[in-house]
Amino acid sequence: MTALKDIINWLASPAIAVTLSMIGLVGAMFCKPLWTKKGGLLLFATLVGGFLFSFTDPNFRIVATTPDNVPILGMLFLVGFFFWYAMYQAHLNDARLALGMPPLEKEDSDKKVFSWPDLVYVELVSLIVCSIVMIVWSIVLKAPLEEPANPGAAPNPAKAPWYFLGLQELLVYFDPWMAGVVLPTLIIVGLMAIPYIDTNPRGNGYFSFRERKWEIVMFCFGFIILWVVLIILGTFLRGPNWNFFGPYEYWDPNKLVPLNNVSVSEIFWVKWLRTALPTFWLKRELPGILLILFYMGALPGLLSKTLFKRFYEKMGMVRYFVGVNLFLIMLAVPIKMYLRWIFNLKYIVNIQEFSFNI
Amino acid sequence: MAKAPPPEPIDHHYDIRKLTIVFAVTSILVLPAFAWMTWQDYGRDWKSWQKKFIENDRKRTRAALNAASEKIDPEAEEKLLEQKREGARELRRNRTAVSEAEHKARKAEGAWYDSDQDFRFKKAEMDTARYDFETVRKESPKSSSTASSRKSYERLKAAYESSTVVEQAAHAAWDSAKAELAALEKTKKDAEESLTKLDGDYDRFQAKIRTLRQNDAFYFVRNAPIADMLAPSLKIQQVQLEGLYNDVNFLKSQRVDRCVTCHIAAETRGFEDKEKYPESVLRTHPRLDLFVDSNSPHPYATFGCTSCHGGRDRATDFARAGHMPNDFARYEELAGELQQGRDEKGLPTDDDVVKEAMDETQTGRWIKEYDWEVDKFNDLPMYPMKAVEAGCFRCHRTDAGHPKAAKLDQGRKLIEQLGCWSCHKMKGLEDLPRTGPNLTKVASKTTPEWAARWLVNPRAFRNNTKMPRFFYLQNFDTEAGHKLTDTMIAGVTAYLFEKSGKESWPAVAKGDAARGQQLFENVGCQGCHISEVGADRHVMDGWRQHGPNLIGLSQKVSPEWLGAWLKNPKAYNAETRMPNLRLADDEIADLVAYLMSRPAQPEFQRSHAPKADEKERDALVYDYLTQTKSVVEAKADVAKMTPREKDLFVGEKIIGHYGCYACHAIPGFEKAKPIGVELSEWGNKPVHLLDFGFLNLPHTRADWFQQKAGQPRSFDRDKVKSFQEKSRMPQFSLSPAEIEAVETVVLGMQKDDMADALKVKAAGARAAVETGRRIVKDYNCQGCHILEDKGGQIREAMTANKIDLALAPPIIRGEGAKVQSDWLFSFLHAPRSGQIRPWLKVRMPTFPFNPDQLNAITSYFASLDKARYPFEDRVDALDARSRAAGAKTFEALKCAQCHPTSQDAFALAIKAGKTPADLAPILAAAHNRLRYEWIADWIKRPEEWMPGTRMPTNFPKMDDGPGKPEKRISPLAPALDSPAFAGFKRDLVAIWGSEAEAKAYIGDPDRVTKALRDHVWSLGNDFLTVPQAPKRRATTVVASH
Repeated sequence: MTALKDIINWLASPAIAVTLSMIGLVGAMFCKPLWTKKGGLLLFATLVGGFLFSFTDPNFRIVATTPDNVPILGMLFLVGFFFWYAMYQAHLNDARLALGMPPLEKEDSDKKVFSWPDLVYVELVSLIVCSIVMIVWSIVLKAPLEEPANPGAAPNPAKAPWYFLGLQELLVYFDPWMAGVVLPTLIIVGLMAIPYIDTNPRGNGYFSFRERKWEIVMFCFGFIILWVVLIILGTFLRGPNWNFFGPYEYWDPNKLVPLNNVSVSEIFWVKWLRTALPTFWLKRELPGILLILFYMGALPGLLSKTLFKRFYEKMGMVRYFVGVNLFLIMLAVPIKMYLRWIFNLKYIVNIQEFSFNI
Repeated sequence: MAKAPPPEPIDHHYDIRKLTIVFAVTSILVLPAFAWMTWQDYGRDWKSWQKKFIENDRKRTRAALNAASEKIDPEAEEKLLEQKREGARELRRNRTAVSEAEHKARKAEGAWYDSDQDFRFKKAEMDTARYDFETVRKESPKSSSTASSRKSYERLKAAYESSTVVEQAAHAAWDSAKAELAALEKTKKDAEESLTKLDGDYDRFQAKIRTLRQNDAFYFVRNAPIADMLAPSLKIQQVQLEGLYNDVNFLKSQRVDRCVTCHIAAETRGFEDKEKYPESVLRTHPRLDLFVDSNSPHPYATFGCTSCHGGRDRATDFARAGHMPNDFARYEELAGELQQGRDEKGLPTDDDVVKEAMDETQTGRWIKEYDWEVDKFNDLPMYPMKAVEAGCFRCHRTDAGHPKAAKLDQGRKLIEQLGCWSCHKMKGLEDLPRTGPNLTKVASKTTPEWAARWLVNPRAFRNNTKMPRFFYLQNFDTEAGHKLTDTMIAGVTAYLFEKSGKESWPAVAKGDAARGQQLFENVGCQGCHISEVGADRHVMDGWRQHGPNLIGLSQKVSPEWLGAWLKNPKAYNAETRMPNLRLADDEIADLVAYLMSRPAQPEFQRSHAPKADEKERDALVYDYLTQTKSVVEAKADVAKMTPREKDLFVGEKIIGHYGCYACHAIPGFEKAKPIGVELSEWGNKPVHLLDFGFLNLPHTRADWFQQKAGQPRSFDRDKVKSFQEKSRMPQFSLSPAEIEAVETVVLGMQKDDMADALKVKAAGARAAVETGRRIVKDYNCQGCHILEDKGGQIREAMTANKIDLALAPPIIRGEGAKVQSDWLFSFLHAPRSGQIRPWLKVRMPTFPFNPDQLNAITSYFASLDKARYPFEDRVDALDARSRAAGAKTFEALKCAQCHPTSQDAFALAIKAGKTPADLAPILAAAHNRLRYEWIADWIKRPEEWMPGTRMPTNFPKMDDGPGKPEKRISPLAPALDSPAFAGFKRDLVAIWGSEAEAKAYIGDPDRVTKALRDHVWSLGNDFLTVPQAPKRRATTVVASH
């Protein structure tokens, strides 16, 4: 039992957890049997079983039953359900499309029903159910009111509202202007740009996986891995001092973890060239700046000739470059995370003179 | 355009039947959910407490009602009832007249009502017109509109005035009609009035019972959910506290205490009985004399509850309010054991079983009954009841002691005497005399070997020492740790003796130990010192342990040092508090002989004398050197240093490390800052800033403190720490009760964030008293004297030595009113033996007081008794007849039998074989020493000034029953005619001129005592012997006769 918990604690460390969830997600999406009713039940049973097992652990219980964290447990099940449902429908439609039949939604949309009772009645029932849930919830779980905020004694860990915990997790890897301003802005801009970049008419108005594999995988990577998984990480696995704790680990405020991180300039000048850091910032940071310029400036062009040749031809130049840039920025997030986990990389460009760090 | 409905059957997206079932089920479910919510909101614990209190109150009122009804005289009541019935009959007989009168009164009332309304309307109209007129005239004084508005104002004014007349006439008419009616009803009304008077209490209690009614429909409606927003009888009780705040970090919010919502009986007398009212929440506050009551110094309306008790002011929920149990740590411990027991037996974890078994702790009971839990978001929970006096300290920290808060007082004394304040800065406990002896000349007092053994374990030498133990404690308890410890001790000793001044003392003659013992027991040493092997430390009521326990001196000091010390303590230590007993050389020789013969604790001499371990010493020196030097340099330095240099180096570093200089004056550390954490606001310290280490303790301030005070080094347990990082606090060997006392003080060290008006005012008489008490404490006056009804502990030693307590140092009571401040000043400055009570062997020593201290003490005594300060009226002319009468009375009463009137008289009395037990103070110097007015008062009522005094009460109190002003009688008046007093009578008649005058004099205690005073005042009084023209100041005295 303890050994199993230790293994799970180890698996839950950020690098492994993110890697596993990436592999798991993409792998699962191509694993057809999962997206049937039986597969859904299996997923559900796994999730519930995992929780039941975990709840025997006192440390897990403390974190999971904290009133602030209960909605995130709910979210876990809801995201799981809707993801399964979308994939289930998509696979049904894919089978129909393969047989030359129209998607299920086509049949549905031909039918007309009344707003009463078909719409309003259901809404009424939902309203009542929600009221019951909210009332019972508010009675059973007391609002987590704390003492008046004191700037001299911040709570430890100080956590953002649960829906921002993914962004807060990015603060571990990026400076605030990047994690808090540039990246969220690009998320919004990117989401707004999707209709203009993705002009593929297929899959419009109905679920389908086969017809938009690349797009769906990309979106799920962005949403599930870079948003939901990071929220879960931030909620359940980040404890005092923002240290990482396994799900069955005690949140010891005195836990110590070394933070021995280095920047690209240190690696390049000190470790490789065995010399002191140049005093002029531009010279010092040149390796990092060149890396960034290569990644953002040269890579899209290179890719258009090689790996993404197909996309370039299909989308045209403007759409391609906007799309691939957004894609590269999204990819930059996990890249930086992996660089930190594997090489303890602090900054690629570290111009402290202007507080400009990437 | 209306569309045609679709053809039946209508196609539906959902199964409507199923949906209806879901709808029905959820609709039914929403009802209990709603009811549950309402109940959650409505069913508050405080309501049940209020209900229970109403029940208690009703029971009590009913009992009072019964008692009141028993008190009513049935005959008187029956008489009045009969009178009332008679009145009713009378009214019936005059039925027509009465109804006519009633009618008339109603009519008159109507007329008045009408005229009064008219009068008020007219007045309003007039006021409006006046305002119009004023504004118009201001705008344009000459215009026509001004003229017209003046006119309308004057018209309305006239109307108003006439309506006044009408109204007054109508009122008069109504009054007369009422009087007519009252005349007819007089018999009945009178009876009713008398009945109300007779049944006053009874009616009052009955009315109260009516308001307390809990079981009628109206009560339920008033307190029903939702309806209770109008006028509930169960409601939140609160008080807004002006000038008391909650600190919410960015601003202060006013405190609003709601504690009495549950503690509803707190302010009401009559709910004290623990048997009748077992729930403490429904009992009266136990100290209404000090708190809550509006006449107490801390009234509820001003201070509320939380300003003293702590806790969350607005909370009405048990746990949220911040209640803290006394035994949280004990509960955790027990619960842990029980849990472990279940685990071992393989039983499943079951919180309920643990709780069930927790009945023996308050914590456990609270958890069971009130769902108590630690509210981790409450920074300032209540003080547990065991430390409730902490709340006093928050404001009263500038006081010198806390006579009304025993535990707090004890804690404060411990902190002062054990020297906690020396290392830890504590506001209000600063600038006290050093707790440890001055070590600047230690080499001329004792030997390094003794000092090293002492450092190993001070209690091995003196079990009751106040010096804490620094070495051989648990965080150095390894073989290497012991070697390191010995190295440190050797270093400290080397440093102290190297830097110490070296003086030599003159030889002491060989004395006689038996005589020395006599002296030791008689001269007053035992007021501050004991000499007992193995005695336990007593700080509270430990006046006799003020100075060190005088044992084992032969091991510690030389006879020469001791002799020099006794002769003049300041020669060795200029800042000592040891007074000078003005001992003669032969007395000193005897005392030294005796003291050097006192036994020692046997193990001490055999204990090991620490020696430095070379390896450890090198490591330690190296360790310290690397703090400022590079590794290579440090190594080179270590190699260069001689062993002696290393010892001195280690000594200096270790003294700095452990902060020895905070209590002891040590050369080289004159300006060093104490090493302890400041505790001035420790009571506000956030719990998460306290390091609990790996100890299994409840995370509360109180529990952390208890652990720290009891086992100061225990937080190092299981930790890997370098020498520098290890805990340094020494072991004070406090008993659990002492820890609780100190905890009470430290928990009370909080910010006093309240309006200045509420703070303790350290000024005027209060400041004088506190400053005086500080000196009394520091110089241990109460070791010898009973002062403020405490102390005089030397009497214990005298009793043990079989010495008559008549020879004990005088009890000091009413001293401020008794003696002149300038006499007191000079007496304390340089006391002389043999002036007032020459038979006393115990000596008032010469204390090293400076003029400020002397002023403070005299002012303290005067302030205690609210006496004139600093100068007393200088009476230098007396009424000759009163003085003569006094002299004769003095003779007649044989006062001189006990009171010698001069030093010569005293010598004669001793020759005549009188013992000290027969004698009273010599009166020769009375006019220099006593306050003129006090003497008469003392003669009149000595038993009140000093209960148990041997001075006879010559003018007994006449018992005139309670509530009457005190009156005293003179038993001399009837005795004057007895043959024994014939001569006395003749003298008095001669003085006063007639027998009647003489009798009037002797029958008046005031005149007799004043005459006696005048006589006493004249004894040995040079300036009174020369007849003088009456002086201005003396006129009052003369005029009184």
